[in-house]
Amino acid sequence: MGTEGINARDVARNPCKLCSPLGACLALRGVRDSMAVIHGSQGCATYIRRYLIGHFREPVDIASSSFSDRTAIFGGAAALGTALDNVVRQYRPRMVGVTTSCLSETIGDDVSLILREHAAERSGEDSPGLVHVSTPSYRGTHVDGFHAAVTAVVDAYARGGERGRGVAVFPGMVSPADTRHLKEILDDCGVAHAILPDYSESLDGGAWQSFERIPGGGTSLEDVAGMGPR
Amino acid sequence: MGGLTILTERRGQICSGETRKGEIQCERQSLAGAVSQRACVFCGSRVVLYPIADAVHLVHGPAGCAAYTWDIRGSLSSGPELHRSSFSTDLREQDVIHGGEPRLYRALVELIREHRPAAAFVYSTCIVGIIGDDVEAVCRQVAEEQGLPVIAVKSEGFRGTKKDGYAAACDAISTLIGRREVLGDNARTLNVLGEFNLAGESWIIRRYFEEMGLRVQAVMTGDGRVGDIEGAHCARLNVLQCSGSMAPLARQMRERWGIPFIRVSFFGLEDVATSLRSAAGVFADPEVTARTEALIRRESARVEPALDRYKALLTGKRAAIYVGGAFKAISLVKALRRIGIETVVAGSQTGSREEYVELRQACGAQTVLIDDANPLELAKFAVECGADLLVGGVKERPLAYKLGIAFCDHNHERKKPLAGFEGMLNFAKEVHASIASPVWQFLRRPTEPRGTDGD
Repeated sequence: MGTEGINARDVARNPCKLCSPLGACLALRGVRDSMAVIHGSQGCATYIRRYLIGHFREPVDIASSSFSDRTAIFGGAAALGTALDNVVRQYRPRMVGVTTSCLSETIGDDVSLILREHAAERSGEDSPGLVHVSTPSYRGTHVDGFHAAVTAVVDAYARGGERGRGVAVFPGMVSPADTRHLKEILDDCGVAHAILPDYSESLDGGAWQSFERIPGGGTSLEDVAGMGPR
Repeated sequence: MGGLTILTERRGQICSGETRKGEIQCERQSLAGAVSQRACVFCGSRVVLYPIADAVHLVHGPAGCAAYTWDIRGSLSSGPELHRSSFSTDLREQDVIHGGEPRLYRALVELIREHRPAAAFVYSTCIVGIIGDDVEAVCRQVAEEQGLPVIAVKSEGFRGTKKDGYAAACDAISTLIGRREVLGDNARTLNVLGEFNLAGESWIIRRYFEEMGLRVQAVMTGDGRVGDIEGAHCARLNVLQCSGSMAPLARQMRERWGIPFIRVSFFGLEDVATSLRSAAGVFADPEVTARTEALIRRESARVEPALDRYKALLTGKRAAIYVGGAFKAISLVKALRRIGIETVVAGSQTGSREEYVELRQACGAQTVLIDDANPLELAKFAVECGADLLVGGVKERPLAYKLGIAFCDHNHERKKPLAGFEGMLNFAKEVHASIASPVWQFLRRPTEPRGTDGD
């Protein structure tokens, strides 16, 4: 080969892996009435949208804090605030998942703090819950991002429910068809269940009866709240 | 759909209703949270350079940036297909902390030894701009050691818009031009800029020029070869399609090598004919002119009767257009009109002020113009203006179908060539097939968003 001293690990050739924010956005699509914002360059959101849209053949809207060079230098708090406000105005979500990118992680934005301050300033009835998912693209793959988002949603919402009332199911990264099948099996067995995430409708839906700002379906926040022991 | 509101900050970039006559705001950074359909600087560079088929394209950054642009455009090659592979340095946390230069060096050397490419392009991503790797120094060193051009493309995602990425790509190509002399008579030689050989369109255009008695030195970058680009300065004319992406290179070549350029479009009969004639006109050679006229006559006669049949079937239908560059939108408006379809909404990601003025003239006063639209705006205006067809790219396709609107992909994922005379016929066929599909009778077009009055 003539590659003495060269480690094959230095080049990734046609790897079948994607970056962690994509996995997080996929998982968030399975939470009812939620939107994802990627805190980074406009391209992160658009590329991940393009990839998910091309794969699932469903509309997937993901917002971006749309970094400029100034944002990269002075910090992304203001840009993220604007992004959150605009997402709420346009989509009226009940929850917004904010996933980070290589850029925002490396410049050291304290996203949890920014979200807490933003929520404090906008504490109205219409304000959605804000969930931070840490997904620097240089750590792990889309699978890690997926689980990070699931964990973050559970951390933020699960308050616990009565014992013996049902099962919480975390199927991992499976197809909408598999999720649907799993639900059918659980229903047939008469097991009350909450599956997180559930994108069996949002990423495999039929024709629209009315315009869907956020596609229907997904795990409701109430179901997530009931997960775990009280 | 009155239930969908337009963000205040976006209103200047939309000409509708009372503001229809006004001037559109454009060439602005995308608004945070607006869900722009644009990508980033890196994307702009990547799509422009990627069709160069005998070069290594190495993305210096995390795996994601490489994966999302892996063979993204369907640019065909008549020979090597190195461009279709995804190579990245796949930066990890340790590289971010300690710097990615050593890995970049080793990756370049390894790829060059393995593939013996004619050149290598190294794309900088956001993270590389932040950690401050000296990509140019590594490229210089590898170029000297390995004896081939290794070019750093300054495409950090946050450095501006997609258009700035086009400019960075033009700078990269510019460093190749002039490295090789093309011997022989170059009096009738031209380059084609901003043509990416989707579904083999470059081959159609090349064939036209050859029939006209002209020689195409380099197509930039469709079915591109480094060697052809290195000799591009020997041409006498640059024809510039997709002006958004390659105008900077055309201007650079005019200043540096004295090569004039003309803007052309190969979409729609009218624009193809005009473009071929104006290219021929530059050479002021009666033989070229005669051959050009013969070509236009023959090809028009071949497709006109079929287009007339489609026109009879499609007259009265309405279209919404959303594409990357506004110059293409202008051609599309004319091409759609040829088959009886009026454009009610027209928008682009990266249009310039002059292009929007021209687009307004092409469309007429009633059409809604949108710059840097988002899905909600596209849906709102497509529905409100009663569009029967959406012409766009992969991100718009499912939106159209959900809205019960026919769709034609005029972007990266088209499978049939839409350029040239035969391309116009393919376009008409595709548009008609989608509009006339019996599936639409089973769908109800949504008129209002879920959860609003009137639902």
